[in-house]
Amino acid sequence: MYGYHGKALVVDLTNCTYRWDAIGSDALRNFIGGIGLGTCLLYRYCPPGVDPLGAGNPLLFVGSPLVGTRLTTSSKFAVLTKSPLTGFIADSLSSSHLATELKRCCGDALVIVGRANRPTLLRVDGDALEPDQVAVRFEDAACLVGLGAAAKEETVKERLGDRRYRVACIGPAGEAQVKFASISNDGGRQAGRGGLGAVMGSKNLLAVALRGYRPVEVAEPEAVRSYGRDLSRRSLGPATEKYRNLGTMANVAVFNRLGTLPTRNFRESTFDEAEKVSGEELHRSHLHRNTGCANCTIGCQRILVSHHKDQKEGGDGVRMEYESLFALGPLCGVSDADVVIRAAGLCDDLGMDTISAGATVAWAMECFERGLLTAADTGGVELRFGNGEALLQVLEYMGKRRGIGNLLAEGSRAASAVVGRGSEVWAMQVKGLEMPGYEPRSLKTMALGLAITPRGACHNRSSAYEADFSDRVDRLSVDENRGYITAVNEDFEAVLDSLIWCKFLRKAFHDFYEESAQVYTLVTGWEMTAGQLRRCGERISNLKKLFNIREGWSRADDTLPPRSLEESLPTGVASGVGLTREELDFMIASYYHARGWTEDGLIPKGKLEALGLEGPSLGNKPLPMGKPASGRVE
Amino acid sequence: MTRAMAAARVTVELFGTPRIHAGAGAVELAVPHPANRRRLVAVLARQCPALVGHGLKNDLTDLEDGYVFNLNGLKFVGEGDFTLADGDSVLLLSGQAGG
Repeated sequence: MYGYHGKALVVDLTNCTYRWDAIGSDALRNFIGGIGLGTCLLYRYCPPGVDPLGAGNPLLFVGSPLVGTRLTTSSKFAVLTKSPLTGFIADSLSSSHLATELKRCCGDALVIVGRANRPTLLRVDGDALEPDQVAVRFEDAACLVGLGAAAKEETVKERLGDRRYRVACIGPAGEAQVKFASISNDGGRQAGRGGLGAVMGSKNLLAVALRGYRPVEVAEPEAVRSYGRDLSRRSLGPATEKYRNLGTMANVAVFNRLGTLPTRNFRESTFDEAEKVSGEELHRSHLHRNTGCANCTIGCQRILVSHHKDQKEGGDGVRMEYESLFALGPLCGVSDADVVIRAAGLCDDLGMDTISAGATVAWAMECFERGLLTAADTGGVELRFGNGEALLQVLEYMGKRRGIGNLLAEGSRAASAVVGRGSEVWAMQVKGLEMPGYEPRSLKTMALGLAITPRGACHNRSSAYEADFSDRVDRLSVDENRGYITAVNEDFEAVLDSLIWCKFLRKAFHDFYEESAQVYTLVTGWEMTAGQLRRCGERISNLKKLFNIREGWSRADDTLPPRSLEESLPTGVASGVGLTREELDFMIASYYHARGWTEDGLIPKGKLEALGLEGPSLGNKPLPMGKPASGRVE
Repeated sequence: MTRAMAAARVTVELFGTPRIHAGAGAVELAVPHPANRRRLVAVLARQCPALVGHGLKNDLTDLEDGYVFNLNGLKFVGEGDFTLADGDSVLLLSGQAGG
């Protein structure tokens, strides 16, 4: 088999057993890999109605057919589970060397179920002489308890005495089961959204160390190399210049000018001190170095340093992205670049999603300013917009569930349900997942994308903002085409996230579907057409929705926070612009129509059949865990 | 000849890579009438030669792939033409909005 291994390593932490499960070629072809194959496996291994923090909830690390081919940006993997933050699907991507080791020793996926009875390091070693064999060890990890994510990764490598191990781990926030805890790998890459780290923590699993030897074989190696050279050349063109020069931080100044920069908990969409934390300014004043993921020619990552005298957070630099910058800066009213950098470093080391962490603090700041939270609640912290030291203090509390942090660690939806008194109105979340840095009232297509995405308020799974930042639509008004645009974008992203290509490469393709189908064929030896690949995207999008329906989704879950639907924007070029509930419902109806779903957003039987999503192949029942079928358990 | 007929006084706001290369966040330009896309690019290239190859095509006919104009912070113009009036602001930015 080329590009794939046709099997998944299934590990049970409760019984310290493992086995190989076959993954049929139909599943591989229909769901490709990454997010798509991961969704298929989640549907199969996740018992309906499972407690997200219970032993039965699986945690999946999933590779893709392109991993190991050395094609630019393809060293990526997906992590999936049932989210403790939303109760629906959580699907995140991360990247770099771990992707390759995952494929070399765990087949197409690593499926982790059960719960260890003590803090555990899961170690999977391939066999150099017999690459199909692995040794799975469940090692005591008491010495890792309480360490930050970076220190954990280093400690594991030192303990194993081989830096070729690639490590995924959680920080203190994951250990404390903070509902938006992340999983870190390769020196700070994050599978960030949806609380994957909390699920890992609930399993008493502190780290996973992988080292494998199985070669990654492709069907047409010379043709793949030739294509790879051409794609690498194109990846260095103007379409990626933004990412190569400033990285995603470049968004701050632009979004501020366009009135789309969420500020002070989405009360405004412009920040009068935006220039102080703009990408251009940070590039000038705080840039330490540029770097990139393994096998990436773009190199979008910007490592910044704080000039603060006590620069303990982040060690020799902090990876800064737009989403971290917006959430820990303008969203909290903070314009001190040093504070924002330290806050991002703190989140990374604690192992928390910066978007949910910043958005939940912003919610709490508004509660404090309105008198719903007091200094007595916060342990004396003056939790006001713009108070950078308060932000840092509360992030620390949150990551360790201390004081007010224990409430905030539940996320803004759950915290607002406890505080009540109208604070739900400004809990800026969808399905429980906090909103990213795209103001929906001045980006109407994006508003729809945020409302309908299965994992909650996410900018990546629909990338609906693409239309808003173009001449295809009027971003300040709605029309009946937004549903179709969003569905098409969502399917495109589903394919991108399944093959897996980096999003920042998307404009470098001449014809994305044609090229990707050809590459898929060259790698796997399986014929794939552009049309079939599009169909895969639609199938994956529908299966995500099907998972959510199984877990209790209803029409009411596809919405936006009340603030987005009841308050107009007060500043900037979009001043006076709002978004009514009727406008959003109109766009949602157009989306359901474009999808071929019912008016209530359910998937008709005929649609499921047409996409091959009915029948026993999805395995609606959890599979029994068996004793190891091969290899060694130690 | 009136001033309005002579040229349109506009501001070009630079973001991201163009800002870094130009060393300025904005430039004031007088674009001869009709102040259309092609004339704007030509005048901008004369005033900020550092933008050539970093936002503006080397032959000065248009923007490089991957860059777009936005008028007054409101309207994106992909490849289409436009006519500027006195006081207009033109944003020059990357067409990649993701982050």
